[in-house]
Amino acid sequence: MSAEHRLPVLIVSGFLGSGKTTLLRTFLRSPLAGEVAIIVNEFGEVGIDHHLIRTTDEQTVLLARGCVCCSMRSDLAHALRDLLSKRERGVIPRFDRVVIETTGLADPVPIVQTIVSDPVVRHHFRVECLAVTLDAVTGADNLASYGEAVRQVAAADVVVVTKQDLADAGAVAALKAALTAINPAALVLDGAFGHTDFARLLSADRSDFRAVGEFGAGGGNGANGWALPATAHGAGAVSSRCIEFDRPLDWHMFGVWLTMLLHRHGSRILRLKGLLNVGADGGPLVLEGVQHVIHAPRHLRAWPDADRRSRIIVIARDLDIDLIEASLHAFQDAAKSA
Amino acid sequence: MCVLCGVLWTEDHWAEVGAEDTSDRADGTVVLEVHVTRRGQRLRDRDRRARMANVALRAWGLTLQDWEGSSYILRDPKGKAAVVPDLAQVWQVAETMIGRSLDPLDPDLLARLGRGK
Repeated sequence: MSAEHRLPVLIVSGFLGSGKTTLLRTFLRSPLAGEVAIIVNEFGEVGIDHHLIRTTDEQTVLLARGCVCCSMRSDLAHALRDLLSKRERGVIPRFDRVVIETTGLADPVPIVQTIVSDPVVRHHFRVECLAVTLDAVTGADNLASYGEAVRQVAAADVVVVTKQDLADAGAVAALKAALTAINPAALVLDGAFGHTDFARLLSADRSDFRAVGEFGAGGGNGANGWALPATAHGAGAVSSRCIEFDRPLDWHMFGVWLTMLLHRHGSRILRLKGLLNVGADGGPLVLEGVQHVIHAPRHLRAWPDADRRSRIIVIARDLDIDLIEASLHAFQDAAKSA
Repeated sequence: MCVLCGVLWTEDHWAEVGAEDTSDRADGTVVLEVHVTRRGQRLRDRDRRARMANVALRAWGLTLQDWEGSSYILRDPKGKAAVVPDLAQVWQVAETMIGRSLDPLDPDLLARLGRGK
């Protein structure tokens, strides 16, 4: 089955009380949603959120016995397989998309890992977007105090800043600056009353790679690409940089370097996103990863702009990002003489 | 498994994906010429990947070699060998062999790479 035929999975994460369920309820009423199957994960003995989401009961799966990120991964895979089986057998109405709503304390990375690596699931489902809600009122405090909130934002493709009707413009701007410092690769959308720009949210896979190009072209850190300083958060000092390469990368040496880096420091590499010039015809190789999980690289048919340099956004926690960049250069230089 | 060669392999790990794509027909038919081209490219890729890994591994006296296009063999200087399925597994097995951790951010390793040793 080719990638185009796999069912998209929209993952909605976000800290406790940040508006995930409200956003999801609004999304389900949107014509953009299509026919949706929902997996709701709740922390605690009694699930509540799934009662708030109106949809066909048979298409709503509640994973109620624990947090999906740590103890329920096999149940998540089972739930996805079960939905697929029922869909194919006509037991439930056909659906075009799966939405997973995580608990407020979930690290979404293992959820992505389950979809990317489960031997059955990965052939039938693909991660469409990891959307994270961030409360405009309490978001800054959550980022400062809770590592879970930082990990969610760092892993996000899209961050929806919710409840903006309750916060003043200055606070919202400061919060957006804080989350951009954590994850410059994320698309940031405004949200209020459960509404946001769902069309942009669903097309984030395309638009945010343009953002990678913009970061690279934006300068700000001399010749070595764009960077933001390390900032102290609940999860430690988070820093990010767009590493640029003028010459084509040796893809095999890049694989050696990155597998070695992730083996040793994977839990502290919060996010990787890049357009790689590996000297191949056509467009760049797209690389995406969160912590230890790297999605299968894919070729774009064309470059998003005239810039042919490799651009890799790295978001790291408690790691010297200068050393990461120096290490990548050292491995690539060594490849030339090997 | 490749139905034409009878070789068992999986290319599940992202680092085992080639930089160049070679496609079969859109209808899924396996074209012999494409298959031969792809197998040759795949073996060349694996050989190149092992050579690149050796650039780092030689700092600890270890060597990596492709084994029949399906696995890699990691060896230490005393002749101890281990079969590893893909590049990502190499580092864990190498650490077990030498009894210490491998860090690509180790300044000593980067200096060695710079000197070509």
